[in-house]
Amino acid sequence: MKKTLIYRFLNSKLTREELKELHDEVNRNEGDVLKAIEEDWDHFVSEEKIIWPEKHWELIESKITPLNKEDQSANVFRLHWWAKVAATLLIVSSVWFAYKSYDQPVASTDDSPSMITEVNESNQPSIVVLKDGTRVTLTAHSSLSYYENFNLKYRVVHLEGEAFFETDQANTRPFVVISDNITSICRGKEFSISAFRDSEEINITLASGQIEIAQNDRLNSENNKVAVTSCQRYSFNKSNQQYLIGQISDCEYNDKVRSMKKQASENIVML
Amino acid sequence: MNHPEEERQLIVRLKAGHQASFGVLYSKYAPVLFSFSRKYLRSHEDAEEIVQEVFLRIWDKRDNIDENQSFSSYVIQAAKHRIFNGFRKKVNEQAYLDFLIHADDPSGNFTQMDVEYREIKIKAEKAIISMPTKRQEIFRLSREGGLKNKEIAEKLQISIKTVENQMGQALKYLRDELSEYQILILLFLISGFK
Repeated sequence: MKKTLIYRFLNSKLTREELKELHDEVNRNEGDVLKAIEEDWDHFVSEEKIIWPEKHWELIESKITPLNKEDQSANVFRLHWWAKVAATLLIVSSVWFAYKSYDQPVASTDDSPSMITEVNESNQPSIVVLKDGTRVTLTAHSSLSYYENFNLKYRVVHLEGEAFFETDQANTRPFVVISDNITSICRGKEFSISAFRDSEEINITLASGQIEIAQNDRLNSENNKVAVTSCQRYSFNKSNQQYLIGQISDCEYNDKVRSMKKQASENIVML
Repeated sequence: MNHPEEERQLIVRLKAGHQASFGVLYSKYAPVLFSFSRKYLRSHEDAEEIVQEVFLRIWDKRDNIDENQSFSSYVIQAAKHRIFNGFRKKVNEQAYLDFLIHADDPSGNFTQMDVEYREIKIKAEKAIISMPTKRQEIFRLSREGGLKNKEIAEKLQISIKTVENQMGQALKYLRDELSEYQILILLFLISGFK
């Protein structure tokens, strides 16, 4: 009854009595009308092709993108003296804390190391989608583990075998991949790491961004860190403990990823 | 909807703050929500406003989204109260109009002037009701509330330019709608509108 009233109203077909009835309904039985709207949505098929201007999205985007710090800095100077002291303390302590946590072996920043492990036992690559939306394409016989409470500052994962990573927020929340005796802090969106236990070499390839690489026990020392940038491959030889850095071409990386993904397309795991 | 798994993945990414995934969901659902809202609100501008508000809210509250629920039902949960409020407003306006049309003077003594006045008033009210909500609000604040443009701008926290713009459009629209009446009478009546 109510639904037909609503439709008749929308088509301007109500009689005076019906209008009165509908007027009562919308002002007294909100719940019923809401329910009718919901049900209508479930069956709703737009009759026309809506052209939704791009500028609407741009407006949304501009509102959800974090603001520049300029506006905030203007306010800081209006703070009371005690707030200034508090802010200074906070800044000092957070810098100290950040420094400490950066300086420690990164893998152990997690206190409760309960790990989730995904093993690809098949002969085909598989795609693993991590909680943060990162897609990891795992090649055959590889495994990937990460802590249940995915660290906020660093996203720490352990890798055995080979994997291709596609991730976001690479700059603010770097990926830390620990594989064999190499740890990589990855600030790139797309990179691959190949570290099979029985292979002589560990290879790290970066499509874009930046990666810092170090042997596990030497992460703290700046001297032993190697920086790899876009379109480079880092190869570490386990027997002589030496590394090489070489250039790769864009398409070389992309071709490989594409063929891997194609094979993996039916093998998706959501963690 | 078509690809539940893909959509689920998009929601997971959205929850992690990934704007591009939000963009994909937006471009899929914004046009549908627009078309749906417009059906209830009968106004292009109002429907557009609802879509933008709802999606901004979805972004703000993204932590609460359940990735195992369809995004479509999440959209309507977020939108239904706004659509309902707009719809209720339309019904109430229509009911008021109906009251105006049928409100008889108990004495039954109409002068020619009364009849004309009422006729114009109903026509004007009809025209005002059919304006987008924002424009209507600005117009009523100006003509019925007697506020100056500057005061309206302050009250609604919009720019004076917007107020002037909307007022201009409202008056032009009324002029067109009521063109059969003499412009002088019209302006006199509109500005003295109850």
